[in-house]
Amino acid sequence: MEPLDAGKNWVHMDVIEQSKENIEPRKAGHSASALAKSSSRNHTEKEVAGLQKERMGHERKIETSESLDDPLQVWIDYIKWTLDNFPQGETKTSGLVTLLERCTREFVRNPLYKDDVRYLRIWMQYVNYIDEPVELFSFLAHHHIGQESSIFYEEYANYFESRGLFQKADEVYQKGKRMKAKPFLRFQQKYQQFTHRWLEFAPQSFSSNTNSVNPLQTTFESTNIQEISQSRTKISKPKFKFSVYSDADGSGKDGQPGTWQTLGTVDQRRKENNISATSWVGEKLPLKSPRKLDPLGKFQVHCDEEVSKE
Amino acid sequence: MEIAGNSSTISPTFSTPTKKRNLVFPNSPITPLHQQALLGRNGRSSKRCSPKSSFIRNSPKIDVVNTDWSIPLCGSPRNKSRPASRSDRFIPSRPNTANAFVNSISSDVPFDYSESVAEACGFDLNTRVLAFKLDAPEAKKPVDLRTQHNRPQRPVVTPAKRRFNTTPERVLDAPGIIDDYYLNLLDWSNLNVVAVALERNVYVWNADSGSVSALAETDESTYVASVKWSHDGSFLSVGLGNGLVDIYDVESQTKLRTMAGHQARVGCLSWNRHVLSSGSRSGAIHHHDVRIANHQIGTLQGHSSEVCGLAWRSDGLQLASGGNDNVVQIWDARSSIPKFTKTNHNAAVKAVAWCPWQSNLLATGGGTMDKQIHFWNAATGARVNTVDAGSQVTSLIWSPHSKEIMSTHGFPDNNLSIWSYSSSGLTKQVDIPAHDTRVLYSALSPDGRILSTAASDENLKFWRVYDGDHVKRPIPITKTPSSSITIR
Amino acid sequence: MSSVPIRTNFSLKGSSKLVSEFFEYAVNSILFQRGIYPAEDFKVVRKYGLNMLVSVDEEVKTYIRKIVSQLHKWMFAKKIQKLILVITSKCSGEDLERWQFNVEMVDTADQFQNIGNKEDELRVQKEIQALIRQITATVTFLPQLEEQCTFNVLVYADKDSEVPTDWVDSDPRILRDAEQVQLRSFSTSMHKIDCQVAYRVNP
Repeated sequence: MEPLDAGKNWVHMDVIEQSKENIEPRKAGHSASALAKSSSRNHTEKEVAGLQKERMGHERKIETSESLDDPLQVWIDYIKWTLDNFPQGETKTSGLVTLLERCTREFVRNPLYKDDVRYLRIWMQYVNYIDEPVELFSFLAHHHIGQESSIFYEEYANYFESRGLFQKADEVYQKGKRMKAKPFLRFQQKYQQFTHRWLEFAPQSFSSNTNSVNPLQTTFESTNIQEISQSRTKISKPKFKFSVYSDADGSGKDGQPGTWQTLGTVDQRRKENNISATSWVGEKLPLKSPRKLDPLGKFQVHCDEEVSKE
Repeated sequence: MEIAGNSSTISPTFSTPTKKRNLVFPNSPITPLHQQALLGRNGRSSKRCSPKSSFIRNSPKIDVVNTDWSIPLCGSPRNKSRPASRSDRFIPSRPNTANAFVNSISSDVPFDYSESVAEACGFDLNTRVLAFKLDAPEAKKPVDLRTQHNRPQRPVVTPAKRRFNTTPERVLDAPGIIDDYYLNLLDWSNLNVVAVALERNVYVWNADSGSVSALAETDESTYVASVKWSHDGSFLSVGLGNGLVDIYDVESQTKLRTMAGHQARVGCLSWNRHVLSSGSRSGAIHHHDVRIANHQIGTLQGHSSEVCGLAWRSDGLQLASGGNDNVVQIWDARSSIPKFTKTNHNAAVKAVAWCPWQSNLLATGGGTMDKQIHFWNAATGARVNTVDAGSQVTSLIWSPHSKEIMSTHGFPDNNLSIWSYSSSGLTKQVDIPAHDTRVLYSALSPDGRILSTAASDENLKFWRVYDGDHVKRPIPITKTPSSSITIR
Repeated sequence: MSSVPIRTNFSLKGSSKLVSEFFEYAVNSILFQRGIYPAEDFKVVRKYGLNMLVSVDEEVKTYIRKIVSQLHKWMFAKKIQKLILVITSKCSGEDLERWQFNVEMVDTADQFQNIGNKEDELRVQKEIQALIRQITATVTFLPQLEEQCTFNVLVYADKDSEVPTDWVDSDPRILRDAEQVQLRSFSTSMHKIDCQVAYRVNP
């Protein structure tokens, strides 16, 4: 083996392969060196405690991050640590979704990060875990987060496109065009490729595409969240009040009563449908018809000497 | 402490297993969210006691060979020198070769970069990098995003084709349950007792009496990787991360024996009367006759990677195994050579299930890169049906009452599906997002009416999957003549 | 013994054929799995005891054939050291992934009795199976290629190789700051092939 890059060691695929089914498919992929580390881990108490200690270190850094010039970076490091150490993504132990939730909410009103692509990327990771992506994209628009970034429009449009809603995806791209999404060259290429796919996969809706006077209203208005949801046989009522986002009235009314202050958390939303877990003691599940057992199936297990002596 | 219910079958009782997490955040306001993610949930019973093991801890340890299993690296370091046949053209000088490289390709690569490249690639004057000049053909079609997205679509409850309660009948706590595809941490016995492994401990819950006890605890250096009840529910076999297999007597709550032999963790187990078969990360399957001291009566060396799924047919004539090598193997009971080796899956195979009413019919499900459920005629080796499940398949359970099969899933949808089966194909009846994380473990109640599922959202859920009002007898087993390929 | 050179010649021929055929399947596999061409352009064929996917698109088939037949010539002439497949974004022109197959001549003096042997054929097939399985499994961690991508094939050949006009000198196109994974290898009576992939993790 001749390493191509002397600075880094090669990771052997054998190590990754032995835990391949614990790797969550991620758009951005996984770091092979991180996988090699997590794959060779066993579920021993020592390792669990070691991870817990590292986690505490990150938590402590976050507590003192407010005084820093760039507090977001501390969160980014913590998120990266979580993604690297938990290739399977969200579990109770990894707390990935909760962490993304805490981070996204931490900086909603921070003017420093409104157009910081790093902050937008965290939102885009979070959107993978929530039930109502449309609501999240509208929320970001309402708070002017990432509105100049090509990524916002690409991701929002991809969401619609992956569900076959090319018309809606196009409206998103048009808004991006008007907002002069940056980097503009990349944005143009993405829009072009989208148009190409639209023509290829849904020509009938492309030809019927007439430019409405204000196409954006349909995508960015709250009323349509319901409409879209229902088209996917979902029943949802808007759980939070927010003012209708309109293009003409571009300025959000942050902090004023009646505006859309918070986005519900995944847990809050699920609570409505979920029964919370109870303890085991005293719980019963009697059976209607126990199976008949084979009397010939009886056998004795040989006992180890050490055990039988006691 | 109060003991709820009747504890005639299992005693002593313990309260809910709770996981101790001593975390303190100095000067930090802990929101309920943090608490949930970091501190674990609050115990729900007002009185708590920590789980204890019921066997004596300082019993003398059995002397066991306990080597860590390491992967042999197959690539030996490459010999830096050129093969002898070309030694006449070998020029050792490095700086010159770097220059030669720069001269040989008239590119605008900065010198130090090309030097490092030359260095790294072992370049010399005798090597040329050549590119095929023609451009690769254009793709005729762009990639369709509709086939690509792997976002869980929640909450998706497809309208059930048959009556089915899409909310669980019961939800219990499973604190600290390990999220690992390769483990099997849940089983339900014929005596209506549920066993769940949480890290180093095995807890058993008697669903008749409501009593709970801590049956087993491993030492600190390892963890429980699999649990499986014997057919009559008298014994629980426990596979460990260090390759040992323990047998517990559930009535006396004692460990009867420890069986050594595997070089690596034992992630799956299957009983055939008094023979326990165990599958290991090394790829080996061992047969243990648990009645005799020299327990190991057979070894199957078919898989080249971890054994993920293992199931004896109820008549004990055939064993099916699935591995991380993406292979399904079907073995005749007395043979150590696989009768069939199937390579149709493109990912690991954990879900392996024999049909209770069609003895030759075997179902297997593939992992993240595969997502397929294949159905096999075990007499002929023919594939008789296939369905794309759309998500990593983590388990398959046939219904004993109706011509249906249940599947549980991981990436990306974490769902539970029920399919109706006929030789002409499968139809999805119900599809529900069962857990917030991957549904990794499942077990069916002895009466075949309730499916239990466990996931790393630390919930253990019970779904009433079959709700016959009158008691139905299980469908009688029909045998297919081994000559015929079709299964009716 | 006069039979030895003939035999060596025979096994070099057989081995070169086997290895270049493997390249053809491996390249097809990678193109399918990385979505360079749409899935409907591929069909399943039985090879190495596995279901392999090969392109049915005439242009793509011809393109790969051209490359593979030249590889075969170089292999037989013992001129080739590495085969590289680089995946590039059409949009930005950036190289995203680099698959490298290293070709090593092995000394076969002690393996004569095995050549053409059923047992040895099975061993080679098993090794190839394991490598193909690993190539399939890399998709679990490689970044999704979101934009349209294309590919190029490079070789590291001996200086004195005969070079047809379709092939030109090139930069090795090494990825900088890449994650690097070493896959398994297989060996025939004459060659040892190992496989590596380098890729960039998106921010």
